[in-house]
Amino acid sequence: MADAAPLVFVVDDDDSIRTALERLIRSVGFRVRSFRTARDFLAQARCDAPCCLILDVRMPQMSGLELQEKMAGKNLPMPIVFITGHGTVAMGVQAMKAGAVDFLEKPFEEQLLLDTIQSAIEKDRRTRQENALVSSLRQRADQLTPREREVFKQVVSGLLNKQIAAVLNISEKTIKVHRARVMAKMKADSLAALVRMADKIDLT
Amino acid sequence: MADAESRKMQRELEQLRRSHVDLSRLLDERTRSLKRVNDRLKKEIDKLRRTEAALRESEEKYRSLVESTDNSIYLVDKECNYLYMNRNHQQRLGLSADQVKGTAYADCHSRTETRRFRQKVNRLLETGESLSYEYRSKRDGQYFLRTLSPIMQGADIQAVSVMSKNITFQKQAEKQALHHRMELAHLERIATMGELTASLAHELNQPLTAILSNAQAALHLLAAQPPEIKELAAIIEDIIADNRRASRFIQHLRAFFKKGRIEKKPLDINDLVQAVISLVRSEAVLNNVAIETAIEDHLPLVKADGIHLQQVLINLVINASESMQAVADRPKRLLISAASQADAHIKIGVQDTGEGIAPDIQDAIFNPHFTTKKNGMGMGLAICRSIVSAHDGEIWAVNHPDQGVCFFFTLPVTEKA
Repeated sequence: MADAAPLVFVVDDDDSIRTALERLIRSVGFRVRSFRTARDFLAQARCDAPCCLILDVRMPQMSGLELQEKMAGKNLPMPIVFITGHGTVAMGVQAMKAGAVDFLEKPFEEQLLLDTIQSAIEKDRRTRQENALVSSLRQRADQLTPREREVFKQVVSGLLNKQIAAVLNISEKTIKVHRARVMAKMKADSLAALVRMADKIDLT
Repeated sequence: MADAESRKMQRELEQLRRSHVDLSRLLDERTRSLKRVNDRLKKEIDKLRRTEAALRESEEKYRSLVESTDNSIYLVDKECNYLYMNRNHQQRLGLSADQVKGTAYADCHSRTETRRFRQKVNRLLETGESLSYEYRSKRDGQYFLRTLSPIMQGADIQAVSVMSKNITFQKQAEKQALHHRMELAHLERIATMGELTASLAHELNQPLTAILSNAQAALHLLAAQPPEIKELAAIIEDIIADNRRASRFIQHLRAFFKKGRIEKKPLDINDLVQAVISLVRSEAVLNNVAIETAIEDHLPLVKADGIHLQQVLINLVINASESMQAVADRPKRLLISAASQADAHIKIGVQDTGEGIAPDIQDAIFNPHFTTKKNGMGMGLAICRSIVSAHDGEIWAVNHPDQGVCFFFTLPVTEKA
């Protein structure tokens, strides 16, 4: 899958900080979009490239945990990097529970911020690839006939053709045909690959 | 013949004898009468002597009263020339008894002192009523309470008596007490700032963070070919603005930490409220408290000490925030209001949606050492009250019927020049 250029979101109610962060992140080659409030972010942010969110901890209207839930509901899942003027252990714990990838104390070193953004975007890229893979595997599995699906399940549970024939009460020769079709439709080149695919799509 | 002669002589002798008797009788009478007069005179003289002694005694008594007192007592005529002064005041002015008459108030005092004294005398001549005022002598810096009273002759004021009591000691004690109160207020300010440390750090971190990020962005932009001059200029402007923001905040903090007497200057309530919000904003956000303001437009200025009034407001705001800590079923709202009143005062209010004040402690909250906080000294509201009364205002608290409490204090507006 060809990635669009990564995108960094910034939410901070302090105008100076928001502008400065936007400039700094853009100056090293990222795309940036910034918002004054979490509400604006939820209403306007769209993203189909690897992305992450730089979020000021101090937001009177919405806690990080709430925002995290709402982001999931809006199909805007992404790694969050919290920034704070004065971190406490409790705050850090809460932020991490809310799905933060990192927790930076202001003022932070540029390199630390950029490294953190880089790894957050990497994380999002992997998540996106994984999600893309799973959804294409699901599409492939959807093309299987009920009988082929049945055979798929038995094959990946480790039974031999002969055993499957006995369980499903059909000839071993027919099983071989179904099995070949499953391998072809799922684009699996080995039994091991097929087992991994079954695992990813949670075949039951 | 000889007989006739002798009879004649006899008769004359008889006559002579009778005359002599008469004369002696008369003389006796006279002598007695003179004696009576003399006795009466003697009595009169005795009486006079006694009266004189009594008078002398009486005058002695009053004189010693007037002369022995620590207070200065003197009489002036309507033109402020001395008519009399007691010894105490003679010594004070360095005059001998025979110099008093013929000396004017103006001869012994500065021009401003004289002008002020004349004003007071003129007021007394107009109203005919006694008046008192405090006065600080330029001679030695001592404080006096002067009472001027009219000396009447019939319906007219003949002269003015002045009684001047030295109140330097009381003044010093008052000053000392005020000094102690201010020391306490200073300590309380430091304690308050201690509570707000996290908040203050945040206020400084914000501009520092923006400055650092801007500067680093500028370095990247400089490395680009060609460098984006326009963007660089914007960055530098922002850096300067943030630097100013940080130093303003530090100045503000420094002023707040400063030890100081109450210095009253014309003050805009709006500036006061904004200054307080800048100090407590982060704290409020941290506690999820929304601060709102309702300041009437075009409020007149008050004559007040900005730092001490900030201390009052910050105390009230912190108390309000803390009273809302446990609130979960309603928004945590804090409203700072200011409105002018009919009696030339401005009323400032701090209202919260917190727990309110339990009725049984309502009367005690302004007492020193009274606290409901676990780590409180109980000085906050006591100091608020002493600061507000030093500004001739009042402070009180009213529970809101639904929820929370509102603290009010009043300040007199400045007199129009």
